[in-house]
Amino acid sequence: MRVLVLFAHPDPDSFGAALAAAAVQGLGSAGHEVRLVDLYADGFDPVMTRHDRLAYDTDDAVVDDSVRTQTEHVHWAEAIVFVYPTWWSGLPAVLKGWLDRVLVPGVAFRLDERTRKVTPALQHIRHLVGITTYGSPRPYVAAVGDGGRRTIARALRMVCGWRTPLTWLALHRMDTRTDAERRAFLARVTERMARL
Amino acid sequence: MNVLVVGAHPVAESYSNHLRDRAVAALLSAGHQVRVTDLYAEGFEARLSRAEHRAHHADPSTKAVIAGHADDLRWATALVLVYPTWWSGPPAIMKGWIDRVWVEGVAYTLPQGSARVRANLRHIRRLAVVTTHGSSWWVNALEGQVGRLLALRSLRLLCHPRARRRWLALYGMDRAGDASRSAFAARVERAMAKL
Repeated sequence: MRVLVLFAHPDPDSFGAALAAAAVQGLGSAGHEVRLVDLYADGFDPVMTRHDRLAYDTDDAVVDDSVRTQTEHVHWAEAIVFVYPTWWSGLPAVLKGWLDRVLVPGVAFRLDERTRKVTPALQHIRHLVGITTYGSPRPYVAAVGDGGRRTIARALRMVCGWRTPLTWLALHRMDTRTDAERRAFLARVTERMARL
Repeated sequence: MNVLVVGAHPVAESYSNHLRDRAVAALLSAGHQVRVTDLYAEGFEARLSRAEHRAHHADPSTKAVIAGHADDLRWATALVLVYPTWWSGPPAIMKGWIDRVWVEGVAYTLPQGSARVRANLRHIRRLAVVTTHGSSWWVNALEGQVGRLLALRSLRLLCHPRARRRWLALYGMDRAGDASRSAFAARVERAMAKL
């Protein structure tokens, strides 16, 4: 499978970066074709501009080269793997903005001009994966609502198809984990990606 | 009350910004003090940097880049967020404002050795969101209402324990005519007058 790994963490020496590496290693060992997009390292600007927003309602909603590169990745991919730290029970801004700017009409869905009805356009995505860390314990995340997971499992899946499988790999209470627990989670990520 | 209004729309003449202006006018005429933050107009950087991430537990007084925003949050007794809902949540620029400004020492404190945060914004007694959705209410329900949960649960937990919440949302905006837009703007005005 062609797998797009979207990675969002400001620190290349972080545990998050180790998770992205573990995912890429697992996917590679299974013979998948992998593209790793490191949103921070690439300097991806997540803020939808005035120009973007005005183009959103036209036939060509992509007006920026950095965004066009990302839409090519999306068309190419058969699976998308998100690797990010959960902040404020959601995606870091850089990743939220990737959705805002890249998944526009004509890329992720089609918008009927007259009825304004949305038709999904990411049916070629056969698998979605979330790999994330939470500072909070699991019950807290459940109580406040896991916004990041909801965004991927529901908002994004709506344009892929509700039957698109979702794999969720999460480490809670990340700040109080021992090295052994962290290593075990890395191993779990590699192992699970190897049999995607 | 001291009301901090935070807006986030890339198009200056947008309906979302119109709602923000109507809200501000209603708040002022009700006698409130108002500070307005327009994240797009000031070119707010949405991405939490590596240095900020590394200094996460440092004293907020050392974080000059967010000092003005942090001061606004300390000053406020009411908070009004105005934004268009994209992919079920606030635009990246507003998520970034939360990621970067609602940090330890500003929004919460984490006592040494504890895994439980303590709310630091207990002076905020009102939390309102004014938002527009292109799609219908039920599509947003399917999408998980991420923005609503973020504001009314995650952010609210750091405000006053009895802080009042208001969710003011226009659904199906893409199909809504001028009449429903003006009706919604009037509803926002009434809600702000009674904040």
